[in-house]
Amino acid sequence: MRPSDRRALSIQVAIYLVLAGLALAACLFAIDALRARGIQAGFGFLWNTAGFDIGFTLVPFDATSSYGRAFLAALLNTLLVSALAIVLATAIGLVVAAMRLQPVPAIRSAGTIYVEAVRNTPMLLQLLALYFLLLGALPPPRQSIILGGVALINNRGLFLPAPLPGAGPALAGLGLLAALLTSWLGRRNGRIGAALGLAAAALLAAGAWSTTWDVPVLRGLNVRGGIALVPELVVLVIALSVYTGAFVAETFRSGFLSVAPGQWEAGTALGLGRSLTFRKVVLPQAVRACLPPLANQYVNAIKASSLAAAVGFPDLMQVFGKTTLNQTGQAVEVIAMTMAVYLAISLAVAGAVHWYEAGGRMDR
Amino acid sequence: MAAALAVALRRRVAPDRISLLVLLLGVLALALALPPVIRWAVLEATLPWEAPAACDRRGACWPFVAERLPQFLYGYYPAPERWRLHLVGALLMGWAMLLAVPWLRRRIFLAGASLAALIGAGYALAAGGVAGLPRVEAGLWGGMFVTLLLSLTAMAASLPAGIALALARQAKSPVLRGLAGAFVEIVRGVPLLAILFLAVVLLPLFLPWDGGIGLFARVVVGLCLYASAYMAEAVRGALQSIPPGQGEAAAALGLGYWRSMRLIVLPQVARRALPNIINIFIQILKDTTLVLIVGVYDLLGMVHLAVSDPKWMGHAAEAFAFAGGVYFTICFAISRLSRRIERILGQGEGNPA
Repeated sequence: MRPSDRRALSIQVAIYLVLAGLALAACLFAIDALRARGIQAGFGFLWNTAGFDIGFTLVPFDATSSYGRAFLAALLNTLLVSALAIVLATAIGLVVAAMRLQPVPAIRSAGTIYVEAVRNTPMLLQLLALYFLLLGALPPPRQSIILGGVALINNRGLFLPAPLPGAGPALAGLGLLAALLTSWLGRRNGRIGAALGLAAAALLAAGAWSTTWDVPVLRGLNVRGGIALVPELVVLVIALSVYTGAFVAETFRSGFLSVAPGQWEAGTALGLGRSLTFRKVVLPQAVRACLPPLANQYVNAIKASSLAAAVGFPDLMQVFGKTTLNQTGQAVEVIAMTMAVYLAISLAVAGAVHWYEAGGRMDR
Repeated sequence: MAAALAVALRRRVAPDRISLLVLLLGVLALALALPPVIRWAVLEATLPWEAPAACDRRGACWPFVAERLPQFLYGYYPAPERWRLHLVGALLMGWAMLLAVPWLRRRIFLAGASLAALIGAGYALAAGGVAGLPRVEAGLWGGMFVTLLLSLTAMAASLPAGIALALARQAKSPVLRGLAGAFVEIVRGVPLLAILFLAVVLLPLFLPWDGGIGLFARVVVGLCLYASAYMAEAVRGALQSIPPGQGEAAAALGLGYWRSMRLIVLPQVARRALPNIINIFIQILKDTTLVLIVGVYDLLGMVHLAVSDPKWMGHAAEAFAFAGGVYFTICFAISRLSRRIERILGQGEGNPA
């Protein structure tokens, strides 16, 4: 070992010792501070009764449920909002990207105006503006807006018809499964695909026809029946999908632009038509270029769903990061759990993208 | 002549039937949507200089925005002391203009250090308690001033921190590499709101003195952590795109690690990372709005307070339109600037291999 190396090593060791010392000191201070407040470190509080109610949950929840169950309910809400927003944002992104790739200036500029307006203002501003304007504009329950006799909108939320459990939903579920299988198996064998597709359509139709729906109706000052989506959920999903949609549109657009124009020309030279060239030559390459950045946009959408805390929708950040933290004072545990959820999602997606880019593609 | 013009127009505007249809639908939608908006915002609106009592339900109530404008700009900062904020703004403006001088622009450490000193002086001036200035508690700060102060601080801190983190992620020592990598990945993997809660709630626990660091300072720390991680990723991306031959050539010339970084590698990194850096600046400016959730009132926070005021019920649209216009103007201007810089830099670059 040369003297200069030895000096570098000793400097490094000194730096690590100082860092470790600082970390240790900070932990000691924290333990002291927590003890002074009479807070027991650990995750035991998860089994204690939460004592608050949550306005919108996918699993049964009331004031006697535990903090652990509140975590589960809040996590499911975060996932629900993110999933809805991701689906909608993808649809918006596809349409807007298609608009921005049009040769017609008027259509193109409409797409550009949307993308620029959305990307150059904070999402929180869009969310709050939508929240205030929508809640201001929606009527009280008595003057609910009725959509086609089956759905209701008022300032308590959006009420949709709900399928009652029975044979109908089960058939429709089987139909969905068949549809999924169609898209997977149909690619390999056209005949199986066609048969499965027909079966899926038949099952879905039978399911829809035989389902009895619980239609929401106005009863005095309240709405009975159906699925109730609180206004916060609706506003959050709209704002999140409009915001994410603009970024997704740009991702799709640059994906398509990354396919060299020569590919179009080559497809034409082979005698493929415009639509066939698009489907068989351009689209697969564009998808390959889009997928990694698209996955990042989806992760961003999941992270941005935490803005729910600004409008009071009970997502993970609101229920756990705010309410539970304030009630229990278990700051370290609560923040660690909240961060771990988002981090796990981000790292999982990053890992999947890495695997995809490294060549483990499914379509090979 | 007219026919030829029509054909040319048709080809430019709507080459086929579907696009003509879409175009007509678009024009129809615009014709339906635009007049009510103009009527609301201008024709039937109560103009800013009129009396607020003249407001009615048909049009926008701009006197509301006019009345609240001081709060949108300065929060509850006392009016007689606002000259201090103007002074800080003027100093920063002067600094930005000095950057036009190539001599200063080349001395990047001098420029950075002077900016850091200016921002520090800005905090001191705004807070008072020095040089005979009366104290103004951070709880009174708000509005555009807080938006600019927070985002400028986060931007200025993120550059050196981001470069240091990016270099640490390439360091020989596995511990250093691991620490920097873990920091960047964790911060980028969670929402900014989680970082802000972390800074606001946990930071005081881990400090030896009790509650001595105010809410505003904690929020600043949170924003700086967040910005640094994203900056580190932008710098790392550019760093990896520099061919290793550059560093090896510098070593062959006898330059040590720091000199080769400073003279050879980082100038090229700066050039390649600049568009991304500016995008991160825009993101920081937009994300600064999240501080309102933890109780620091930036521009959007003051707007939120104003529209929640029962006195002005039903006028949320005006305030949000104002704030949206401000954010859009700043962000759009920066993004255009970024695109121009990208073009200029692209010309200087040889063949990107």
